[in-house]
Amino acid sequence: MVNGVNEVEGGGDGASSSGSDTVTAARARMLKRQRIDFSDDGSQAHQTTALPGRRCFVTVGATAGFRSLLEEVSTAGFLQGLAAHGYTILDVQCGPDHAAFQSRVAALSDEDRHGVSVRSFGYTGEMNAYILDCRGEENVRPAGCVISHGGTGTIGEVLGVGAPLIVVANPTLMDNHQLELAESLEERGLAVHGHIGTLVSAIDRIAERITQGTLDALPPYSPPPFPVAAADRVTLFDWMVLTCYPDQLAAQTHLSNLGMAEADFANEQQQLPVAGNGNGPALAVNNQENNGMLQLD
Amino acid sequence: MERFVREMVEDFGPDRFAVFVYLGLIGIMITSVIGFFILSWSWITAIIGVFIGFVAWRHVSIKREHPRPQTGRRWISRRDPSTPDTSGLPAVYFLYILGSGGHTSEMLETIKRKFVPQANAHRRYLVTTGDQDSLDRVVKLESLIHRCFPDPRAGTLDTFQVPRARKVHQPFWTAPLSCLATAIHAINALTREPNARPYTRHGAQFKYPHVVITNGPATGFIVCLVAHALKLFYLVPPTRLKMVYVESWARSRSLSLTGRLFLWSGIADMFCVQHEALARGTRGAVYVGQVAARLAPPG
Repeated sequence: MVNGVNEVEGGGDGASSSGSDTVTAARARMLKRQRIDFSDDGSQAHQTTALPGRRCFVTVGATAGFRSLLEEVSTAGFLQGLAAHGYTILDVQCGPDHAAFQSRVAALSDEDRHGVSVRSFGYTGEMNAYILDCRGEENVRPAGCVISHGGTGTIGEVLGVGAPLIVVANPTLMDNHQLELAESLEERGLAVHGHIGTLVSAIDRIAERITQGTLDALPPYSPPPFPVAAADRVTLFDWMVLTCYPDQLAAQTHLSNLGMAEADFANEQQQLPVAGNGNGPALAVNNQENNGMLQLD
Repeated sequence: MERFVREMVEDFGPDRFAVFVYLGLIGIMITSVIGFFILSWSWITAIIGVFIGFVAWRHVSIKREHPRPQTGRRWISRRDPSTPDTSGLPAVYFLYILGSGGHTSEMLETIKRKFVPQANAHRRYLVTTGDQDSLDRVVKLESLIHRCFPDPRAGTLDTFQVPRARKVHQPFWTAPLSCLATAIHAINALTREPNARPYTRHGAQFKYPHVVITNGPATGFIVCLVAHALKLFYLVPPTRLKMVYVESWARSRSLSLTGRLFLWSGIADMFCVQHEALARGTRGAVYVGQVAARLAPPG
C-alpha cells in the first residue's frame, strides 16, 4: 500500500505544476495528497503503462534450514521454468544456508539464469513485504508465487495476504509433520503441493490457476481488521477465565442461555414473515427491547 | 552454571515464592537420600506407595474439576456475541507460551482473534531464551494493541524467558536435562507477580495466571506439567492456572507428540483442535475452528 502511494506521488510531480506560486509548500503537499486520494482508483492506471514482471519468493522459514529446496531453486532448469511464465525476479530467504546458496548462484552463467535476477538473504522480520510483492494487484503488478516450506507461520501469512502459494514439505523435520498440512491444503484447493525434483511442474500448475482465476487483478490489499468483529471473536479463553470465578460463571452462563434463546426466537420470527404478513419488523424491534431488559437484570 | 544461577535469581519476585519451592525440593531430595540408607526396604516401599497414591488421588480429583468437552463445545457455539463479559472481574490474567517460528505466529494470531480491550487484563508472554524473533513479534502485536486502544483499556503486559526444552534437531536423549532447566525457570514464570500489578494495589488477584495457553512447543508441555504439579501439592489454589491446549493448525489428521502427551496425561483443562475431522476422531477434544490462521477471501 505504501509502495503504491509513493509511486503515485513520484508520478504526480509533473502534474502538480498547476499549483500557483502563492500557495505555501505545505499546502501544495496537502493538495497533492488529496489528489492522490481521489485518483486512487483510476488515473494511476494511465501513468504506469508497463507492469513489472512476475516475482517468485522462496522462503524456508525462521526455525530450520531446508537445503534441498534451496538447491532445487538454484538450478538452471528451474530458472528456465520461471522465465517461461514471465517471472523476472526470484527472492530467496535462505535461513542458515545463505552462504552456500550465494555461492551456488554465483556459479550460474548468464545463460543459465534466463533473465531472472536472483536475490537472497538470510532472514528478515519483514517477510510480509516480500509476500505482498507476489500478490497480483490490478494495474500494479501481476501475480507471482510464494514457494514456502510447510511451516504454519509462513503459510498462514501467505494465505492471509492471498498470494499464490506452493508448499514444499521439509522431510527432515520431526515425523515429517509438514506433509500433512501440505496435503490438506492441496485437497482444499488453497495451495499447490510441490515436490523436490519436480518444482517446475508446480510453477506450471500455479500459472494455470493464475490464468483461470482473477489472481492477476485483485483489489488493493487491506490488512485484516483489528480487533475482529464481535461475532467472529474467539470467546473460549474468556470462558476459561470465568471458571476461576464460579459465581460469575453461573451468571454469565445464565445470560448466555437467555441470549441464545432470544436469538433462536428472533430467527423463528424472521422465518415466519416470509409468508407475507407485515408484522415481522415490529416483532423484531420488540425482541431487541426485550433483549436489552434481560441484560439489565 | 554461574550464568544459569544468576538468571534464575534475577527472575525471583519480591515474595521469593520460587525460592521456597526450590528449598523444599532440595530438602525433600536430601531426606529421601538419607531415608534410603537408614530405612528398611518395607518402609521405603510403603512411603513411595503412599506418595504415589496421594499424587494419583490429587490428579484424579483435579481432573474431575475440569470443564467437560461438551461444555467447551457449547461455549464456542454461542450465538450471542455479548457474552461472556469478563470486564467486571477483579483480574483477567493470561499466560501465553510462545514456542518458535510457526508456534509463535499461530499463538499471536490466536491472541488477535480473542482480544477484547479491558483495563483489568494482564498478559504474560513466555518466550524461550534467545528467541529474539518471537520477542520482536510480540512487540509488534503489543504496539498494534496500544495504538488501537488508549492506555488503560489495553491492559498491562510483561515477558518472561525460559530455556528451550528441545531444540529443533536436538537428540532425544539429551532432552531430559534441558527440560529440567525449563521446569526450574517455569516455577518463576508461573508464580511471580507482575511488576505492573503489585500486591499493594491489587491484592493477590494477579498472583497467578488464570489461564495458561499453549499450542504445541515442548516447552509448553513442561510449563503445564509444572503448573499441574503446583496444583497437586496445594501450592497454587485450584481456581488458577487453568490450562488450554490448542493443537497446531498444521495437524489435520493426527495429533502431534505434544498433543498426544497432553491428551494422555489429561493435565489440560481444555484440549482444542482446529480441524473437524481430527476432533471427531479424538476423545475429549473440542473443535474450536481455525483460530490460528486467517484465510483471505478467495480472489
